[in-house]
Amino acid sequence: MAGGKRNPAGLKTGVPRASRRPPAGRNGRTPRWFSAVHLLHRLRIVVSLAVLAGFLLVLFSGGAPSGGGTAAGGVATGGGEAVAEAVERAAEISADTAAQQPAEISALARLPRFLAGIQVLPAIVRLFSVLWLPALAAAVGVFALTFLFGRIYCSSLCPLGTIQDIAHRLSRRRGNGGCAPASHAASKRRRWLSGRRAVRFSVLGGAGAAAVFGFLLPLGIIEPFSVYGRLVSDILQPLWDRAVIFFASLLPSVYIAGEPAPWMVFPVILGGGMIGLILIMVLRAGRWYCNRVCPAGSLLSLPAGISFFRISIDTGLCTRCGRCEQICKAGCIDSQAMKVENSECVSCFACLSVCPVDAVSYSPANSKPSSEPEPEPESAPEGEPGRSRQAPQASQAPQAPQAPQGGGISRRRFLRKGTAGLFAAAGFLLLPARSARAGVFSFFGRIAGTKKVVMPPGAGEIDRFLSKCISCHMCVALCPEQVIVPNGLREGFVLLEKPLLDYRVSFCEFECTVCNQVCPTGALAPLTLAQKKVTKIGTTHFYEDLCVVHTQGTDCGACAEICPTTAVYMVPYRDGLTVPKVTEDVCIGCGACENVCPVEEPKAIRVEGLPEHGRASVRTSLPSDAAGADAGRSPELEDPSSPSGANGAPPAGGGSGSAGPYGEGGSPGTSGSAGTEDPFAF
Amino acid sequence: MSRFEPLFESFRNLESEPISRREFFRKGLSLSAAAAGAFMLSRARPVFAQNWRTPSGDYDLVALVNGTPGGMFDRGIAALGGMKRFVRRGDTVVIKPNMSWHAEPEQAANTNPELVARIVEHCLAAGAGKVYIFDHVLSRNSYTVSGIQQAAENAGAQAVPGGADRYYQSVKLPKAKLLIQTRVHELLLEADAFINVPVLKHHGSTNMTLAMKNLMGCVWDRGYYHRYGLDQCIADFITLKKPTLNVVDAYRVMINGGPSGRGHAKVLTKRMQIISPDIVAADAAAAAQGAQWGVYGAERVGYIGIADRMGLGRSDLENLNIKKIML
Repeated sequence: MAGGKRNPAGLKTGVPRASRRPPAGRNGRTPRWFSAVHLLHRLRIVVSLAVLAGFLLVLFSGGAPSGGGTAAGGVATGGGEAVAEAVERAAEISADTAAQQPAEISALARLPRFLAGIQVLPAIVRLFSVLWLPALAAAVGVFALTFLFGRIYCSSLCPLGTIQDIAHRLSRRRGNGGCAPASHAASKRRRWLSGRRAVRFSVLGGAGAAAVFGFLLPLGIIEPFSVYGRLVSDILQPLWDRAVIFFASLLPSVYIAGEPAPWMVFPVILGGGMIGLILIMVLRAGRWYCNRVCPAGSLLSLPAGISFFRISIDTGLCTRCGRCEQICKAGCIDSQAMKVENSECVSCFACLSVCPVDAVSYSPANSKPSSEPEPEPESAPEGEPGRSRQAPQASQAPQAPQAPQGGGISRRRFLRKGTAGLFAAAGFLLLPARSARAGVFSFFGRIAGTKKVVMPPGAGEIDRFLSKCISCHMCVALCPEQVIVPNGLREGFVLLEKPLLDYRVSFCEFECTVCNQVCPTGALAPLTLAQKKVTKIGTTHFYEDLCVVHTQGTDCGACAEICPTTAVYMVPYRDGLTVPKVTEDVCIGCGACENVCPVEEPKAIRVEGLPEHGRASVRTSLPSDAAGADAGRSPELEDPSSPSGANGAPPAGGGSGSAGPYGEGGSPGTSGSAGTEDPFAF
Repeated sequence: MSRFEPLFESFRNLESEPISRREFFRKGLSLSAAAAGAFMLSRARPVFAQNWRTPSGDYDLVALVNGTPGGMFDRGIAALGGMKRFVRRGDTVVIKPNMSWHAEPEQAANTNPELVARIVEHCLAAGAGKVYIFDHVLSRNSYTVSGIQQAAENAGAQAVPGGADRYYQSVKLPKAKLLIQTRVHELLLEADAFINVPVLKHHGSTNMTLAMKNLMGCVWDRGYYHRYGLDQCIADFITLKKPTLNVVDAYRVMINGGPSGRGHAKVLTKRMQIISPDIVAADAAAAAQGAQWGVYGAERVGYIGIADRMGLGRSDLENLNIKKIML
């Protein structure tokens, strides 16, 4: 490249390049701590830490019982009308259903859910073949932000970026300087620059193309939010829970609800391994991951390369001291050439506050009135706007105030690139039509479909699930029942790290849609509670020869007792015993029966997952063959006026009035019913 | 999976962070000191052989009808000589309502919240140092949906989660036939007085849920009961300790479709309450009452007969000194 030759040091003779210390009090701005650039840098740090803290609220909201008052009315009244409205196929819920979500997600989980919702790649994945306006707003918003201000997303909104920054900062405290020394890095970097664009875009292209055609696994492994999510839910959450439980156990009268999140071997290895690799690279080369591997970073490097506000170096002021280059986590500054590769800049603003002569600035690209557009356009090769721009300028008089500060690009270029980007984005979203996805990689779905795994409600069908779930494990972290567990490798490579339901651990609570509400990619469609209650995620099979009623000759009925839909009910068996029976189209596959079945594995009643979720019908009365269907069939009054007060205040003042509990006529089953004789049966 | 991990798991995790050697020793030492302290604290609890306080009085059983849940309890406990007979100053009182089910008070699957709150108030008025409520729930939100947590906390009790493995301690039941060993909630080990507040309702497996059945919510492994015989295990649990007081809530009665009452249960408002220090007597009376309402009779509630034969209480209602109060 031309860049290698274009930096004759001799041209800079006029500048006191050897002086590491700037002349004190230059421009009368000695106290740098109050300068705008410094505040910008600090503000960036505070915002990113606040965002990370917001994300980590997930840890507090995992097992805690959510607030009361969830709608349970449908159960009391027979449930029929509560679910009467037509339920779309679980996969195709449109945006307007979001309005009727029950307020059951705990308050602490709302902020993490919002922050997860504005992550750029999950938002884009969510838009695959579904128009979800919040996700569209998030994706467009992040792109617009990047066009305007550079990769703010990478510096402040991405939790993995902040984690890397913290590691970077801690390593600097220990005194190894963070990255490689500047002089060393500069020569190395020149070798990298072209190469890493190639790496970056081939990774993005490969993972992105696979994702577009329905094979989300590579993208899910390297996507930053999913890497972060797996770190939190597979490693931090179990650690945190145990720490909380331990310290609570030291205090009297302090009880913590729920079990600690389980340790899963493979998810810990994968989650820890990914974060470990990334952090090792942080120590060696700063935001290495963000500029080579991260598909979100690669995507955002396109608008960032032509962003409006950008970091640039004033060649007239720069002393080439190399501090900015040394502190730059992204390795995007070439201090000797006085250039910044803006597409790779993660907008951390560290260079601004470290520059001793204020040569580094963050300003609009075309802000300098003197920046003529004509030096550049004709000489601009494709790619590398930062470099080509510098070529004429570096050979000009270095002190020239009208030097474009590495920032100016012509309007024509901007429009050309911007339009291309828009078209690319539109094509990206239009391409993944449902049929295209299902066709190209559907054999993965077919393999996974044979495993009979239970996908969380809202997953729809297995092809859809595989093409939408990035394995960020938000649902794992927030499932109040902890029934959603990361699969690891147990069910094979095609289901690697996908969240699945494990009924040995727990079961899917009937009155809950937390996973549907927190999924950032829409892999779990945002079902309403009414929809979820009839979403059939599996089918229950009863194995009579394993049941304790058969093997032990005792009454059990644990499965029927806990079944939320009465799909499992008891029918007469020999010797006056009763035995379970399953009505398959009423069963939703929640696994409560399997979980409580007292038989050791294999359980006598088990749920088999459906590769395509269905819709269960709702039972309105006990089946006629149910044992005890006649129980309580006393000719008692119906008692339509059940007391109004929530705490059971009687309707008519203490019950002494006319409508005594036993007094209403027509109850021949009750002895001595007619009067106030003796309500007591003993 | 993690349900069965020991508490000590937490140490190992804390140590696994990268720390310097000196720090490691310092942290390790302080941690082990803390652990030893915690261990000793946990060991310092009263031995389980002691019984909860079970005073005898004028009446063996009080039955009330036609009042509010709280009002009936006021009258009933007065007839029994007041709460001071059961709860002394500074006592730790544990109240075990039935609040296992994701159901609102009107559904009668759980104990009436007003009744629980009133019992809490009586305990505190009698000088109780600390009043806890808990249940081994079957549904995560049932504490709140049942309204009991709110009501009891407003009255001054502390709601303790019952759905966590680590709070259950192993106990032996030498006098039991089937349930020779089980794990009970540690609150039961701490309690000076234990008040059992079941709701009377239909139950698909044991025919009726009553006071003894309600204590199934004190153990961790309910599956054991189902595996080896519900009625015998339910009766066996009483050999461990008998509750100080049993308050059977029959204000609203689910007469079929129990215990969950999902979908198609019939709930009648009966406005009744049965209070007795003798758990078997309370159950016998409640079962007789249930039979009258068309649920099931005492002869079909197996655990009452078993408990009677094991000499755990008296079910011969005709020989008991019963006070009936109509409000």
